[in-house]
Amino acid sequence: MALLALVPLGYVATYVLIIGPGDLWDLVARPRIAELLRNTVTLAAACMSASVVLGVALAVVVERTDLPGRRLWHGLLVAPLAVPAFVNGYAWISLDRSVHGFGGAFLVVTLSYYPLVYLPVVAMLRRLDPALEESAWSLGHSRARTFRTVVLPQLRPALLGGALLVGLHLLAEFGALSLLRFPTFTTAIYDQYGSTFNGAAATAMAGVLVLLCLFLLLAELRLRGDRRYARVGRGAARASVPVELGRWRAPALAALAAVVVLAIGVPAFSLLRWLAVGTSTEFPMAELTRALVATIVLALAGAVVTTLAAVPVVWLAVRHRGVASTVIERSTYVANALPGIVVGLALVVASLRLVPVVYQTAGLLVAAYAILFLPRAVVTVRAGLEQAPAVLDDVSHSLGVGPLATARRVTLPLIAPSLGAGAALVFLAISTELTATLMLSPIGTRTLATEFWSASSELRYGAAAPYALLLVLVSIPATLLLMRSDSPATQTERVPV
Amino acid sequence: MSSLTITGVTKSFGTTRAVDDVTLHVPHGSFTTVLGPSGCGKTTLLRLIAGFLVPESGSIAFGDTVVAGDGVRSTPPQARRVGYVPQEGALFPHLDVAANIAFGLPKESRATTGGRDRVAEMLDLVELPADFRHRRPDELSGGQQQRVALARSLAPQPAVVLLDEPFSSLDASLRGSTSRAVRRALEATNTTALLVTHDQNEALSLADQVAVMRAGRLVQSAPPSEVYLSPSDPQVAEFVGRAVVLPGTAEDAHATCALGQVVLTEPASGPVSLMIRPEQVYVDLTHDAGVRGEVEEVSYYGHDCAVQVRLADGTPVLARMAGVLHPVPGDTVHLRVTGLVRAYRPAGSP
Repeated sequence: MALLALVPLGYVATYVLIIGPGDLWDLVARPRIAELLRNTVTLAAACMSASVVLGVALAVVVERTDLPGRRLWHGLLVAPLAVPAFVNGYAWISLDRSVHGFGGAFLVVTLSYYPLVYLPVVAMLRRLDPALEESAWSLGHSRARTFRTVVLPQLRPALLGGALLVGLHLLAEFGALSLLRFPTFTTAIYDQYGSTFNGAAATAMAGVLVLLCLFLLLAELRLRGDRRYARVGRGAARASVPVELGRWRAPALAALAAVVVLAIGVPAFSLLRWLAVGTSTEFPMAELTRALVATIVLALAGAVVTTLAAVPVVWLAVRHRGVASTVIERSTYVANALPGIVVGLALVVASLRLVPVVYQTAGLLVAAYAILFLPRAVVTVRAGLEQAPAVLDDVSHSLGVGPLATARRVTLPLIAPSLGAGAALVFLAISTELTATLMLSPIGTRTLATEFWSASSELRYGAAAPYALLLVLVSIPATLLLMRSDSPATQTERVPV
Repeated sequence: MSSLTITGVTKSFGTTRAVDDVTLHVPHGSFTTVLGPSGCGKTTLLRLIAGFLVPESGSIAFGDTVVAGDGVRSTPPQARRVGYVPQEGALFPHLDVAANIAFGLPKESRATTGGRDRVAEMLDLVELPADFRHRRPDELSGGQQQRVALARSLAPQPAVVLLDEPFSSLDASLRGSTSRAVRRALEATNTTALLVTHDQNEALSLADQVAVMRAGRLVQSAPPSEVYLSPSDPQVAEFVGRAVVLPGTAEDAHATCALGQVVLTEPASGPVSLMIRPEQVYVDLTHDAGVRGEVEEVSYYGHDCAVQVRLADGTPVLARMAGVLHPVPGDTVHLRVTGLVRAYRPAGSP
């Protein structure tokens, strides 16, 4: 399964080898590519920086001050995760045509993705040992200086991990950027693929995109380094004493309110407005039901396949630690950095060349989902298996219970909740997946995301609204799961894209 | 229950010999502790006995039954009838106390009142109240978890019980009461038990026999008092307690050293190293009898205190005395050795 996850990477690498450096250079060294590179890199840099600043500032205000209603604010600030970025893009541009190009893309994507920094930073702030800060104060450092010299360095893994996620999401983003008419590699690959089926040009661009993703992954690893930032002290964790905002209370509340209005208020208003306008003319109950059923069936199949595939990967990584098992586990993360568009393209080409029968079958689409979302299942199932340490198996064996009965009576009951949670996360991710679904879904199969896409890309905003609403509803449970601070996805381990 | 016999057992990981030619006999119904520093191979030895690892050579037998050995197919752990109590208990977190204790019982007795009676019996044995049966592991303290883990291992009446540093994660006060309760439960069921630990006090106070391991080898196995008073070499002496090791010259049953003349456990002659326990050094505060020295440091523990003395010739000597009346740094005292002293050939001599 982990090898299947490497198919897209292998495809791009093989392609580059086959066409040779000369032709590759001709394909890559074009003004259009330079423009796409500039667009992609500047947007990624701007969004990552803005998300880091916004995410850290919001996290500190919510976690470390006496702000009124902190729990409510926390919920509101995480809420944008429940709105897929392409739904957010639709909400903004359908409300105001001037939101497009770099400015529009920057606004919408940052508002969609800053929680990816905010959440891990909040989780880290909660876990920090206040004794470290107390030691710094006792050594004569002011609160501000303590924050800079003690707290901020410890936030580094959370911050870098979050920024990496924003970057990877952005490189993979197709729907929102396409609606906002800001071309990046991902939107250009899709256009090439859709309009001219120019495999060579699309694959060359996919190669550059993959390189950008790998660059981000390596940069994050390099910057994070080997240093460990876990709690050193033993004993119960205490909460730190909140800072009194005093006269800054009103400005802080106003700033939070502004973020919430832009990130949640605007999309909610736009969606409700189109829902009112759209449904006054038609409410396509039959099509909605059909799309909903197709989405659920595909997501269920994908969730089951992906979670089952994660079990052996996790088993090897946790119980039989070694070079090979680590490589297998990590390779799923590398595959995870691949945008849906590359996975889609790779599977289209690979299936047409090698096994044409599977092209445009639900099976191939489910395989793409498994490649895309395997890391999500791996992270969750792994957290579960670590709750079932090998010593429990030893104890069970010593009590006369054989391996199969031990799996049934000890291991399975212990990992069942995490299998369920992993499957649920994958189910929800598949239900809102757009790019690979557009490329790989069998003819006639229409999901909520593809129905939404066909309506909104043809500017039928009212018709898109009911699908957008369903997509938001489907995203809410996953967001609630992520909000739990003990969720494995908010740990400093890589959070899946 | 049966005896446990380990003969010439060896196990390596890569190029490291974790367990090197170990031979040990644990008589039926007795309690042996394996004592050694971290990384000496004691846990590996335990895992070999439990069947989680297979020895490269040597044999392991429960009574007359060989469970691992040259030419014998290794019996898998689930067929060995060992009770295993790991560090921190490792109770099954998804099961309550009763289900944990009954885990290794046959299905029919798990489900019927027979199983429940056995659970009550086991709770009683480890001195826990009967209403603990419905508690979840996370509702128990560390010491209670260890008692349940022992009850779980004893419920199916194992041939041997193996305990892997079971008290190391408990704080000092719980450690004493839990270990005594474990000892009583093992005695009451006449269970053959082997406990590995790096804690000297635990090893000496619990066991009928102490086996000292160092770098994969078993260097001494004997009753606790013999290991303490007559350790097989000076390193063992220093590992199982504080020791004053002084050079001296032996002649028959006596030897002369910086602390004057001492009586030896066995006759010897020529240059020797003498091992004296600090509590054998009598500190005289009032009389002039003995070797003169000056008190440098006093560590007061309440019940007793450790007194660091420097003799006139510069030799440092540690003495232990009751905490009622003790000297202070700077005092002049006189030291005498009481009881028998063990002599060793100095390192490097034939």
